[in-house]
Amino acid sequence: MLTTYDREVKLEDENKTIGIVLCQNKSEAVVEYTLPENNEQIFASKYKTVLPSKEELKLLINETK
Amino acid sequence: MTNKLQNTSFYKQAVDLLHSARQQVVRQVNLAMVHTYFEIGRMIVEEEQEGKDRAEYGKQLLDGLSKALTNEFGKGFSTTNIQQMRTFYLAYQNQQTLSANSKSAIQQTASAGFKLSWSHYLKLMRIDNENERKFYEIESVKNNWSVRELDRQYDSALYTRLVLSRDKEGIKKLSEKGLILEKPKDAIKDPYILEFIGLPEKSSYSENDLEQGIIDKLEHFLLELGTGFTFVARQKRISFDNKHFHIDLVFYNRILKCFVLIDLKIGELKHQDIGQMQMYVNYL
Repeated sequence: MLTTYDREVKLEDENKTIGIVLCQNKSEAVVEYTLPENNEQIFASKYKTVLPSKEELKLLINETK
Repeated sequence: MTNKLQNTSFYKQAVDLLHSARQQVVRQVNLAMVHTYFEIGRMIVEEEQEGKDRAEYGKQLLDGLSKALTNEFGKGFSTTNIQQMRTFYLAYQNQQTLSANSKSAIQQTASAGFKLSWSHYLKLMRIDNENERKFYEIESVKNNWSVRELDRQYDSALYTRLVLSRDKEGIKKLSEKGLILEKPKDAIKDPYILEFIGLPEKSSYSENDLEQGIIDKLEHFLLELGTGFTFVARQKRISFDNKHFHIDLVFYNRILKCFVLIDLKIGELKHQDIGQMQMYVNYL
């Protein structure tokens, strides 16, 4: 368990490291079934390389209602 | 030599003092203008109510005021500008009256606290949803966003993206306190918007291109990540059992007090990608 980055590894009074997998696309099922139930450390988020259009925004907003 | 060095820092101190004094003056002038425009907006709305039986009255009032102010002060008081002051008052009157019942209007608005520049409010007053507007206002103040940064955050639909992953209580909090980081989940967005890299949606690029794009526009990426993030490393190597792994990007969040590892995946997410991240996280 040797590493050249010892000094950057978490100190005792620091909180648990978080990991984000930034992906182009994902299935919620894959995420849900891979991660443990009480997971608070690992996240899978999509990324987009263009700003959302007005239509996309409307869709997003309607999804939440 | 020592003397010279001391002198340099001596001059620098004086320069810094003057810079910060000037900034303060600019800020004070800006705030006074914002408060004044709000009051002019109030005057217009109250005057319009007096003459509401005449349909043309509102238009005449704005044109007349524009002429009078232009005569007195020169540029900056077109009918459109005057109209904006009216819109500003209408958008913010409720927010302001909630904060104080005092009759002294200037005092009231001064204490009720406009904290941003007029250009910020020109942007904010066009946001119809009051909760959304409050969110962007609070975040602009907290993060010291320039108008350009505010524009970008709004265009990337930051508020909507945060709303998506929150319950009713959480959404309410966004418009009252802005974004508060209490647990890791609070710092996560889905999706992340990386328009600043300039990769067209349908083009083909490698994970490397994406990573290089982020590094080239690190300032933009930090704005997108949000409050408290600082850059630590790219392609950070970790090793165990004589095997080497490279984590694409490593950040640290000062508020959450933890490392944040980011791995980039082009295409569909596989369960192995999540497994690998779990290994990294456990390791650090």
